[in-house]
Amino acid sequence: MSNDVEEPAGGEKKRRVRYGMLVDLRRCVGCQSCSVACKSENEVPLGKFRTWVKVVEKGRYPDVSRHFLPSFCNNCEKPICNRNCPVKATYVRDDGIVMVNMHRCIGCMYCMASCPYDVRYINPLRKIVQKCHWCAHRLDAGLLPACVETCLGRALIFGDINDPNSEISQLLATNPVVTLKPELGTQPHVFYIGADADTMDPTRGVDIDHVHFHEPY
Amino acid sequence: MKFSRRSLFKYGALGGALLGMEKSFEYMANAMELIEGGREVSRTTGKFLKAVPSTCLNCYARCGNYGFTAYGGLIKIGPNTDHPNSRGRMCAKGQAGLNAVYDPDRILAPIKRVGKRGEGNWKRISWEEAYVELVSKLSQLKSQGVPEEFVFQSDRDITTQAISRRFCHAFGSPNALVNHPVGGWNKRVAQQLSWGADYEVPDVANTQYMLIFGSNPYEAHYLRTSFVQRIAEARGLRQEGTLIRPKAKMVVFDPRLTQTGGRADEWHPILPGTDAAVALAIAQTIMAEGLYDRAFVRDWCNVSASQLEKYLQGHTPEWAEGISGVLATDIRRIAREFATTRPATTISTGGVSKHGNGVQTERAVALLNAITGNIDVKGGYCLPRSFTFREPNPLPPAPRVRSELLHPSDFPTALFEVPPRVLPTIKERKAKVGVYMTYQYNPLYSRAEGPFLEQILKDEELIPYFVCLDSVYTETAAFADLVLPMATFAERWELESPPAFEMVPFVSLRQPFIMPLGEAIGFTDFLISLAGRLGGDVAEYFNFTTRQYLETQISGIPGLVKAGGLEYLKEKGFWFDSEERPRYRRYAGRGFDTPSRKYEIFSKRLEDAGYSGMPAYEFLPITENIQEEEFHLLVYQTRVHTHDRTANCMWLTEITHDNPAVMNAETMARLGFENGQEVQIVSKIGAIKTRLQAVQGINPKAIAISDNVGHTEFGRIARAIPFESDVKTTELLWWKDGGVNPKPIVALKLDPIGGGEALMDTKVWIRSV
Repeated sequence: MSNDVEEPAGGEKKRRVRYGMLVDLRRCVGCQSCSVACKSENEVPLGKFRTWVKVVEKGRYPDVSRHFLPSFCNNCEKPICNRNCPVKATYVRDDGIVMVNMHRCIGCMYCMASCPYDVRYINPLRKIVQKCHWCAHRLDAGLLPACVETCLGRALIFGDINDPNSEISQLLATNPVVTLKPELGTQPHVFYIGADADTMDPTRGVDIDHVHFHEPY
Repeated sequence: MKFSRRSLFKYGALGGALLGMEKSFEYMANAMELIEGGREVSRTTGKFLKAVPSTCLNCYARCGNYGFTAYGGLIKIGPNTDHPNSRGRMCAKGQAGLNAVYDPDRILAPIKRVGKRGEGNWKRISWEEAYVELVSKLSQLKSQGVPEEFVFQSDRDITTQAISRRFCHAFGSPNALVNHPVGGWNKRVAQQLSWGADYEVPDVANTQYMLIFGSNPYEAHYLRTSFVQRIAEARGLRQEGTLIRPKAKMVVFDPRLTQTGGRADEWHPILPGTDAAVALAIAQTIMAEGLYDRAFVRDWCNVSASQLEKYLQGHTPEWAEGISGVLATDIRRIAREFATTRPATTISTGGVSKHGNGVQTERAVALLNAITGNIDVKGGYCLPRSFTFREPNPLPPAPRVRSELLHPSDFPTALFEVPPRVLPTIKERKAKVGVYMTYQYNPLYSRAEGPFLEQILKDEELIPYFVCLDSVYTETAAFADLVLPMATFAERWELESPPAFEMVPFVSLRQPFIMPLGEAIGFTDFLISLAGRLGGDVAEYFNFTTRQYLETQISGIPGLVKAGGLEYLKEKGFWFDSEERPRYRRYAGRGFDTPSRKYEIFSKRLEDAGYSGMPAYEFLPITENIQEEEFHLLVYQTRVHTHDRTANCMWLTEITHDNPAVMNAETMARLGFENGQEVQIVSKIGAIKTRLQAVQGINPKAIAISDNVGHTEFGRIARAIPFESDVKTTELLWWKDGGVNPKPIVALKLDPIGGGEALMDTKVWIRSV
C-alpha cells in the first residue's frame, strides 16, 4: 500500500494502516515486563534497551508518590533520524514504523545524534544501529508487539490509529493525551495518558533503578 | 463462565468522557485488533514457531505460559492469553525464564566433592555412580534401622510436596520438610487458626476498597501477575452489567514507599512492626461506632459483638498513634471508610508476617474483614479455591517416629515444621541426621545468620552426607557432598492448581518445552528412579511412570477426565469447568474449617499455649529504646527478582543488580551522611558494606536493603563477572556492583507462635568506612 487510500477488490475504500501506541499510566505498575519481553523478543544485547520504564519518586516525606514512564521509539510521523542517514538505511514503512535496514547500515551514528528521544543504539556486536520498531516482524504476522502482549496492567494499547473503530483510536478520541517533546514537531506516535512532568523530562527526576543505559543528555 | 479477558478488561482503561456512550463500548469487545498471545513468529523466516502451553515457575504465582521452540531449542517464553488466572499477562521474571534454562553456569551433570567440604573442588561423575553412592548411603540408614535420619528439605517448590513426602514416608522417614509458605510462614499459621485455610485470595477485581498492610503486590506477591493485573483493573472504571463502577480506593500502611504505596491514594509510613496496633484501632472504631456487620459477627464469629467491643476498648486510635506514628484522625477516617465501603478487602503479606509478632498481626488484619462481613464475598477477602490432587494408592503410612525437625517441641503452636530452625536443631543435637537432601533450597543465602548455618553444613559429624538437588550452583550447593542436576520448570512435568482469581478452581499443567539440557532430569523422574534402585517397599510405592503419576493425580476430577485428561492439558495448558459459576460464602454450608466451625476471632489453641487468644498487638523488643542513630532494618523483594532464585537471569539482574541501603533523606542529612556514600551497616551479629541511597519515601526510623542480589556463588552473572559464553552477550555484562546479601547481619529471630522468620526485627547502625 503506497497511497493513503487504496481500492481493494471488494470496492470498499480502505484506509492506510498507521500504527500507534498508547500508554495509559493510570494502569501502569512499573514492573519492567515490557523491557524484558523486548530483550527476549529482539535479542537486545546487555547494556542496551529498546524499552525502558523510568521510575521516579516525587514529593517530600510523608507526601511522596511514584510515577512511571515506559518509553519506546515514538515512530514519529516526521522523523528527524531518517533524514540524515547517508546510506538510506533508515526508512519509514507505510504503516509509519521507522526501520533500519541492517544490510545497509554502516554504523555511522548520524541518526543516533539526531534522534531527540535517544531510542537508537549501536549493537556492540554487530556494529549497526538498532531501535524499537514495535516488533514489525510480529505485526506483519498479525501479532501484537511483545511488550504490549505481556504488559501486566494492560497499560499499553496498540493499534491502527487510522481505524476509527480501533481501541486506540477510541481512547485517543476520548482522553487527554500527551507526547514527548511535542515542540520539536516530530509528531511522535507514542501517546501517554496521565504522564508526570518529572518522568517526561530527561533532565528531571531520579530513576530509582540507577541504570544509565545511555549517557545522560 | 466466560473468561474472556477482553470483556474483563474492556472498560478499565476508559476515561470519564466515555461514560454513557454505550456504542463506544462495543468496539472494545474486539479490542486490540491484533492477536494477543499464544503465538510467536520467527524474526528471520517469518514462520510461526511451535508453541507448547505450560505453567511458569520462575516465581510462585504460576502463570500460564507458552514455550516457543524450533529445532529442539527454546526460542522464547510468552504468555498464555486464555489462562484463567494470568489472562495473557507475563512479568519480567516469566519472560526471563529463558535465562534460567540457558544459564551458562547451570549445573548440567552430577558432581561429587573432592577434598574438604566447602573447598569447591569437584569431580564430574555419571548418574550411575551418583545413584550407586546415594543408594548405598540410604541403604545404610535402612539397615541400621534409622531411616528417620534421612532428612529432605525444600521450601521453594509448591508442586512437589506430595511426591517428596511420599518418598520420605515410603523410605520410613517422617522428615519431609516440604511445606511451602505461600504468603509467609506466619500468615499460614495465622490463617489456619482464624479460618482453617492457608491463605486468602483478595477478590480485588471486584472490590471497592483495598486496605494494604505491609504488602507490595505491584512488585512482589505470591500471586503477583494475576493479582496486580486485577488491582490495575480495579484502579480504573469498571462496568458491571449496565453500571459503571468507580475506581477502588487503595490505602497503604508500609514503612517504605513501594510501587504500590507510590501509586496508592494514601501512603502511611507506619513504624515497622506496629501494624497490629493500627488494625486493632480500626477494629475498635468500627465496633464502637456500630459500623460492623451484625449478621456475620452474630452468626459466623466465635466472639459476640459486645465481647469484642469490650476487648477492644483500650485500643483507641490515639493509643495506636502513640505506637505506630499514624495519626488518630487518619485511623478513624480510614476505619469509617473501610466499614462503609462495600465490598472491601485487606491485603497483607511479608511486611507484617516477617516480624516477631507476625501471627498476631495477620490475625488482627484479617479481623477487619470478619467484622465488616467481607469474608468470602464478591470483592472481599476470599477463601482459596483450588483442586486437591489424588495420590496413587496405596499411600505409604506416615512413620510413627517422633521428629523434632517436623514438630519442634519449643514451637507447640506452629502447625508445621519451622524451616529456619532445622539446621540449628541439628546443631543442638536434638535431631540426628544421616543423609540430608535439599531440593532448590539455599539457606546459606536466604536464611538469617548464613555464616552460622555454614558452620553447621560444614560439620561432617553433624551432617555426614549432604546431597543438593538444584539447577544452579548455590551457596548451599558449595557445601554439598553430591550435587545432582535438576531440570528447570521449562523441562519437566508437573501439575498445579493455584488459587483461582475467577473463583472457579482450575488445573494447570507444566510440561517440558524442550528436553532437559545436559544430564539434568525432572525431580519426579529422579525420585522414581531412586526409589526403583532402593528396591523393596520404596520401589513398590513408586511403581509408576511420571505420566501415570500425573494421570492418577487428575483422576479425581471427573470433568477434566471427561474432557480428555492429560491430553487435554497438553494441548491447552489448563482446564476448568466452563459450566461452573463463581460461588461466594462457601463457608455457609459446613462452616469454616476450625474447631468451632466459625471464624475464630478468639483462638483457644493460642490461649492454651499461653498467648493472647484474641488478636493482639505484641510489642517487639526492638521498638523499645531505639536511639536516634539506630534503625529498623527492612529486607524486601524487588520487582524483577524471585527471592534467591533469579540472580543469574541476566535480563533481570541487569535491571536490579545492586542493593544500596535506602534511607530517609532528611535523617541522612541530620546524621551527616551523604547520598551515595560507602558505609557499613552494622548489627549485633555483623556488618556489611554498601552505599546509602537517599529517598523521601521511607520512615525515618527504617533502613531498607533488598535481598535478591549479592550472591557469593550462584553463577557469574549473579556476581557481576563478564565472560564469553554460548549465551549471547554475557561478555557485555556492564555493571560492576553485584550488591550485598543483607542476611548475614539479620539475627535469627522467630515468631514464637508461628515459627516464621522475623527478618525485619533487626536493629542496625551506620558507620562510615
